[in-house]
Amino acid sequence: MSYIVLARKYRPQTFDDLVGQEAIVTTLKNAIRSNRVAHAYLLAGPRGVGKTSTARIVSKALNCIHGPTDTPCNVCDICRCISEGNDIDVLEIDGASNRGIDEIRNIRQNVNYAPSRARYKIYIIDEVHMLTREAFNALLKTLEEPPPHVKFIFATTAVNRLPETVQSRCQRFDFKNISVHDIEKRLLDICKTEGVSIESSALHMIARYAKGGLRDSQSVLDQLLSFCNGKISREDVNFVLGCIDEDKILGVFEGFVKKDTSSVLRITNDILNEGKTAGEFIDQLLLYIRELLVFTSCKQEAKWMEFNPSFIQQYGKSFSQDTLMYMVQILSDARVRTPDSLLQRILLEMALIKLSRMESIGSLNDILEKITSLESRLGKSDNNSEGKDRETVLIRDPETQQTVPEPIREGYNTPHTEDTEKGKNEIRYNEKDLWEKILSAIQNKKKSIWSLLREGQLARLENGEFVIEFPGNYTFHLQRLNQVEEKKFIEQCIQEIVQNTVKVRFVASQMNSDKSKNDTLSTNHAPSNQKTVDLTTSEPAVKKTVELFDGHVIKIHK
Amino acid sequence: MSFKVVSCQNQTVKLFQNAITNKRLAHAYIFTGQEGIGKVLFSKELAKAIFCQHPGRDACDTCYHCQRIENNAFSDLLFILPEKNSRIIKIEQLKYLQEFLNVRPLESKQKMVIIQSADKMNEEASNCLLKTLEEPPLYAIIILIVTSLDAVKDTIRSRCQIVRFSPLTFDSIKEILIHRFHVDCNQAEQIASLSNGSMERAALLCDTHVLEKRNWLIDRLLRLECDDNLTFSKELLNEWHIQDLEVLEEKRVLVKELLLSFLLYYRDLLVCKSGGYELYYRDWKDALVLKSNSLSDDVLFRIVPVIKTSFEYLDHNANITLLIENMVTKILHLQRGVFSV
Repeated sequence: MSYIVLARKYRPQTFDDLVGQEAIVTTLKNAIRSNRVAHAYLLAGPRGVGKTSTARIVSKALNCIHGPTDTPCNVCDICRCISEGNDIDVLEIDGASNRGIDEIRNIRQNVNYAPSRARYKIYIIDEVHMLTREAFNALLKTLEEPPPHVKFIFATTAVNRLPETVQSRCQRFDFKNISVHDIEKRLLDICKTEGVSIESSALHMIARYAKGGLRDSQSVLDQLLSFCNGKISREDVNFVLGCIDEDKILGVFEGFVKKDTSSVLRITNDILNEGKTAGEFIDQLLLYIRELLVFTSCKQEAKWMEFNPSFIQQYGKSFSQDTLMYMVQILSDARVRTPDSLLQRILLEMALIKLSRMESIGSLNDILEKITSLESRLGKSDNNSEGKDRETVLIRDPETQQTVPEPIREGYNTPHTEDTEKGKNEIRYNEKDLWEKILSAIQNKKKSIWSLLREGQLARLENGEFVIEFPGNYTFHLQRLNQVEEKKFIEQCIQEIVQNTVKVRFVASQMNSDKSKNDTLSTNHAPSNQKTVDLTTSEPAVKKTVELFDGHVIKIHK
Repeated sequence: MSFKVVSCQNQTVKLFQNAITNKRLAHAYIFTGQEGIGKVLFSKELAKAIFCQHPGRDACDTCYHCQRIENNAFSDLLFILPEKNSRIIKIEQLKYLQEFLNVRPLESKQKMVIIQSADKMNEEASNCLLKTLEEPPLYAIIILIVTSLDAVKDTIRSRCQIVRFSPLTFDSIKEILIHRFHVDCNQAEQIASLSNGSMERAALLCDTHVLEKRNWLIDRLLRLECDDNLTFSKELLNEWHIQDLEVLEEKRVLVKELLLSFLLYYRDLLVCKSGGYELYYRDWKDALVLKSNSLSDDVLFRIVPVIKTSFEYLDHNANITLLIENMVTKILHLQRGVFSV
C-alpha cells in the first residue's frame, strides 16, 4: 500500500473533527438533531477549509445505520463506504469533469428511484461552479422540489459563479479561513500522532504561510516529513516554503539606508541563485515594508500585527512614511507577470537600484510648507504691496460672488472708474473668471466657435465693449470670428451671462507669439533660446521638411 | 544516467531520494522554477527511479523499464503537454488523464502523469483536475511542471507539494557548454553570464549568430548619435533579420530577445554608474563605464519604462517595425535630455 498524504489521512470524520467552523457545525448538528435538514445545501469558501469533508460528514450523519445522528459511527458499512467515496446511495460527483447538461439529465432521471439501502439518496456535487449554464438550468426544478428521499450538497470555491436561481434554492454556508492558532493546534496534533518533533516557531511559520487553508499547511508538513527525519527545524521550513532568509532581507534594507547599491545587488543575486523567483522576493520585501508602514502609522497600537522586534528596532525610524509608500510603488511596478525570468530579474534589479539611490522623500506637508515659505519670501523681495493685495482680493472675491453678485456685473459695465492698484487687481481677476465662464458657455453651444475663441484672451472692457485679443499671427481666427453671424452669436452668449447688451471686438495683439514663447521659456534667456532653434533646424528631418515646403520654423514646443 | 545528469538540484534530489526510501512519495507535486533548468529532465529521472526494476535510491538506467522510460515508451507513464499549434492544455487531455489513472498500472505498482507547462491549462482544464488531484487512486503520482507559481490557482496549489528548482550556477553552465556543446572557454563564459542560469537559454545562445548580433548591437548602441533614430531602427531590423521570418510568433520571440538586449545594456550602464557589480556584457566593461558617465541616473530610469512598455505592446500585437522605431526614437530623445513627449 502506498503512502497517503496527511490531508487525506487526517480528513475530519466527525463534526467535532472539523477545525475552525464552529458556527456551521452547530447549525448542522442542531438541524440533524431536530430533524430539520434542508434538501439542498451550498457549501462555499476558500480552499482547504473543509467543504468536501463537511459534505461527507453530513451524508454520513444522515445515512449512518444508527439513525440520523450528529455523531456518525464511522464503523458501519455505510459510513465506511461514504468515507471512501464509493457508496451507492451517496454519489460524489466531480462537477468540473461532469459539467454538461447530459450528466445533469442523468441525475434527474435517477432522482426518482428510492435509495437502495440507506435512508437518503445524497448527491454531492463538488466544484459545482464549473457546471455549464444549461446544466444549472436543467437542475432547477429538481433542486426546488426533489423527492423526500433526496438531498443535494454542493461545494464550491467560487460561489459568485452560481446563478442566483440556484443559490436561492439552497441553504448556504460560508466557510471561514481557519485562524493561524487553529492551524497550529491541528498540525501539532498531527505531529504528535506521527511521532515527529517540531519547533514551535517552525509550526508558526507553516501556519502563517497557509493563509487560512488547512490543507495548504498539511501539504507543507507532509513535504517536511519526507524531507527530514523525525525533527523539523525552522531552516527546513524556510527551505521548503522558499522563504528568503531574514538576514538577507535585512541586508537589503541596510543597503537602502546606506545607499550601498552593489551590496543590494549582490544579495539579490544570491537570493535568485537559490531558486527564489523575483516575484517572491518582491512579495517578501513588500511584506516587510508593510510592517514598517503599519509601525510608523500606528506604533504599538496595532495589536493584530506580529512585529518582528529586531527588524522594527533597526529600521523603524529609518524611513519616512512617504518614502515607504514610494518604495511600495516602485516595487509593485517591478512585479510583472511574465514567464521570462531574465526580464523579471532585470526589472527587479532596476527597482532595487532606484531604491538604493533614492534620496529620502520628504512628506507632502513639508513640501507645501516649503512652497508657501518660498512664496512669501518671493513676495517680500519682489513687490511688497502686490503680493499682499492679491491675497486680499483672493480672499474677498468668493465672498462677494456668493452674497452679492450684482456689483461684479456692474463692475464690468462701468469700466474701471477707479484706477487704484487694488481696483485693477480685482477686475483683472474677475476678467479671467468671466472669460472662463463665457468660454464654457460657448463650448456647450457651439464647439467650432469655442475652439477658435479659446485661443484669444479678454484684454479689456471699453465702454461695454469686450475687446478680445489674439496673438498677431492668428489672422485666420480673426477672419472667421469677424463674420457677422459668428459675432452675433458670441455677443448673445455674453449677454446671457452679463445680462446686459454688449459689443465684441476682436483685435490682433501687438506682441507676437514670440512673447508667449519667451514666457514659457522664462528661464532661458534669448540667446540660448536661439540656440535651441538652431539645433532643431539642423536636425535632418526638420531641415528636409523646411526645404521641401519652403517654410521656416515658427515655434518649438518643448 | 540517473539523478546525476541533473545538475545543481542537490537539495531536490535529496528530498526525493529520502521520500523514495521512506516510502513517503506524495500523490501530487508541483515543480516550479524558471525555464530551462532541468525540471522535465528531473521528472523523467524520478520516473526511472520509481519504476526501476532494481529498487533503490537511484535508477539503474539499464533495466527494461528505465530504457523504455528514456524512449518515452513506458505504459505506466503519461506525459501531457499542449498539443501542437495550441497554446493551452485542453479539458479533453485532462479527461484522458482521468481515464488513464482509472485503469490499474499494467507493469508496475504505480502510475505517473507528468503535466508539462501546467500553467497553460485553461480554466476548465484546471478545474477538471481538482478532484483527481485531491484523491487520486492510491497508485497514482501526478506532477505539474510550471515556470511560475503565480499562474497556479490556489485550489490546485493547496493540493500539491511544491518543489522549487534553482537556476544552474555560472560554473556548471560553463562546464556543460564546454563539454557538451564544445564551445571555447571565453565564449562559454560570455554565454553563461547571459543565460541567467537557464540551460535552454544557453543552448540558444550557442548559435554563433546570436552572440554576434548582440555584440553588434552593443557596439552600435555605444556609438549611437541622437539623430539617426530611423537609420538605426532600419539597421536593427536588417541586422537581426527580423523581417526575414515568416511566422509572427517567431518574429515576436526574436524581437523579445532584442528588447531584452536593450534592457541588459541599460541595466549594465546603471550598474556601472552605481559602483559596478557583475555585468552581463563583461567584454565591454570599459566602454560601458565611459558611456555611463555621460548619462544621468534620471535618464536611465526613464529609459527602462520605455523598454518595459515596448514589451507590453509586443504582447498586444503591435506592429513590430513601428514598435522598434518608436522605442529607439524615445530612447534617443531621452538620452539627449528631452523629457516631455
